[in-house]
Amino acid sequence: MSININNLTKRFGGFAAVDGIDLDIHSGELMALLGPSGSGKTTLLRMIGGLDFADEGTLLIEGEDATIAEPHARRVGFVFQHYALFRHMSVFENVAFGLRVSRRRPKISEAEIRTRVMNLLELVQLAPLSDRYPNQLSGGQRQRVALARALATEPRVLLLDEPFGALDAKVRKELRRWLRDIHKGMGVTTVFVTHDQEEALELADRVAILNKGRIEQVGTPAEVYDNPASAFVCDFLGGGTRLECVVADGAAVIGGARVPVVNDLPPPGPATAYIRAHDIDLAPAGEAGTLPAIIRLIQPVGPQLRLDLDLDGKVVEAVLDRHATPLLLAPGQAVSLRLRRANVYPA
Amino acid sequence: MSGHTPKSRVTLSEPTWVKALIMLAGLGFLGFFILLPLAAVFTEALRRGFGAYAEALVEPDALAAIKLTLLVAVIAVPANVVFGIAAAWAIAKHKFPGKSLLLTLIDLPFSVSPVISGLVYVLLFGAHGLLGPFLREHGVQIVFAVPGLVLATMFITFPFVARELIPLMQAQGVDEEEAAITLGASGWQTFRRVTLPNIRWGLLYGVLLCNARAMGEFGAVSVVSGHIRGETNTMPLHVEILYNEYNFVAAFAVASLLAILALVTLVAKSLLEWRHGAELAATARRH
Repeated sequence: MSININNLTKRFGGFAAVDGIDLDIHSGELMALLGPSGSGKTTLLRMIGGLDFADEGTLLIEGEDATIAEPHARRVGFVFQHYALFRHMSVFENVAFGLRVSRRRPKISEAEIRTRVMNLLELVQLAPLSDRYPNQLSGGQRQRVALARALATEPRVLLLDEPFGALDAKVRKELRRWLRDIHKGMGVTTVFVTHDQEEALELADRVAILNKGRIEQVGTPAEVYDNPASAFVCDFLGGGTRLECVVADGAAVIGGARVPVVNDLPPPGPATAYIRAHDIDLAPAGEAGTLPAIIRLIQPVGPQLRLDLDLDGKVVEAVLDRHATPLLLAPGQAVSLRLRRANVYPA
Repeated sequence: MSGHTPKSRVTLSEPTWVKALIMLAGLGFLGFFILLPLAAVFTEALRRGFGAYAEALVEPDALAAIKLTLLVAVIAVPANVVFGIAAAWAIAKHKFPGKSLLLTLIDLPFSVSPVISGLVYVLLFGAHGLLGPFLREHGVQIVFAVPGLVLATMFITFPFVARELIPLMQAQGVDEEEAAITLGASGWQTFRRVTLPNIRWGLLYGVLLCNARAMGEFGAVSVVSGHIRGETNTMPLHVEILYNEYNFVAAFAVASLLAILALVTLVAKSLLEWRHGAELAATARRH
């Protein structure tokens, strides 16, 4: 179901945690709210879920005004960062809770509760553990119980707060794929909060990037990565090294070298360029349009070779394909850099 | 490595005789100040045999004191359970102005001398007290009667349940309550199905301590009681009267009941700690 957020504002004391946000979330979409801590993303999610209420602005769910609606009237499912499972209830009872407290009349029969809960536990592959208690489960299992519990009441919207934050890398990857499958299968509009850009770009249909309670950019993962609307977005999405430059003749000039600009070109004059680590090549010394640098550190990481390079006293990070780098590199060596492309923002 | 271990072991541990001395001192202290008096209570109570002991307990004034003590506890403890849960819930789960003031007020009975607490009620409700004339006009007797005893006991045992629950509820946070609300539970359902089950062992623990204090309270109750035999004497007051009359067997017999209550409370408390230690560990030990 679609969500329309209009000028939503939430203040804590004098501090605006969410500061006039406009955002439309389409029906059936998987949307990521991405930002650093303190950017207001969790507050925004809690306002959609009815756990916090806006000081200003409106929130429509499926066209109905839900700005001040009680949580149960919104019919949203919420998955908490630390899962918030009921510690004194079994996995089965946790998932059944929403059905047992349902205000629907006639009451849902015990047999139907049983069928629905077991179906959901089947879906999250936890049926054999239905009698366990939360403290007997691993982090990944708890996460899946929390999701099954949120889905039990058949919500119109599923909200997840840092869903994979507390899990180790391998489980996180599995669960991501699995959440995407479930989202696809059920088609429920889903909003999740994360501070991990990789997670947002990998999982979401669209990403909203938040900073200081405002939205910096909304777009598909490819759009926001390829054409970051601001220096903040660029920096947050792995912008790479920040260098001073001058915009002239449709390109950025860095230390005498002309570098093609991929985003909307700022007006001529001094500007700030971001060079991603993947967009740096090593070139033979003295080649036209290159910059001289010195290797400070070499780290082979899996298939990559990560380099710290010294460019006029500034550290530049570069990532090379380890197997396509025939040169024999050593720390202290003088090399030449070719910058393939840059994102440039007014200084 | 092997050269290091014995050396560090020597520096880290005390000589055996020091350990023995410390342990002896500890045990001696425990024996002298706790076990000896406890044993004395029971030997004095049984000095003239079990017959005299039993007789002292079924004597009408003693029975009246036991009944009154139970009556006071039966009213004061549930009242403080309700208040304690409400206060802890408000303080631990919500933000509101004046929260720290409320916390301080809850601690007040711990910091005020019980005699003063009793005196406050006399000054308020006594014949020459602030509300005395009004109460006399309407034929309500509070001081030197059961209502006064209940009020004084409630005041004294006021903090036990709340103080037990506040740290526990604070440690548990509001996540589970919020989860219940998003799942459609009403406020009451959330409280009954989520909040209350999560605090049940801490609550029971608080009730035990509250009850022990309610039955054993002397100072505040002594001031408001008026010491009317068979009417306004609770067990601790009855013990004092018997003792002042040099009726040692009877005094210690009634005292032994209070001692048994204390022992039962201790056993129940240890059982709770043993079975539900992790949950109770969240509570700061203040009593």
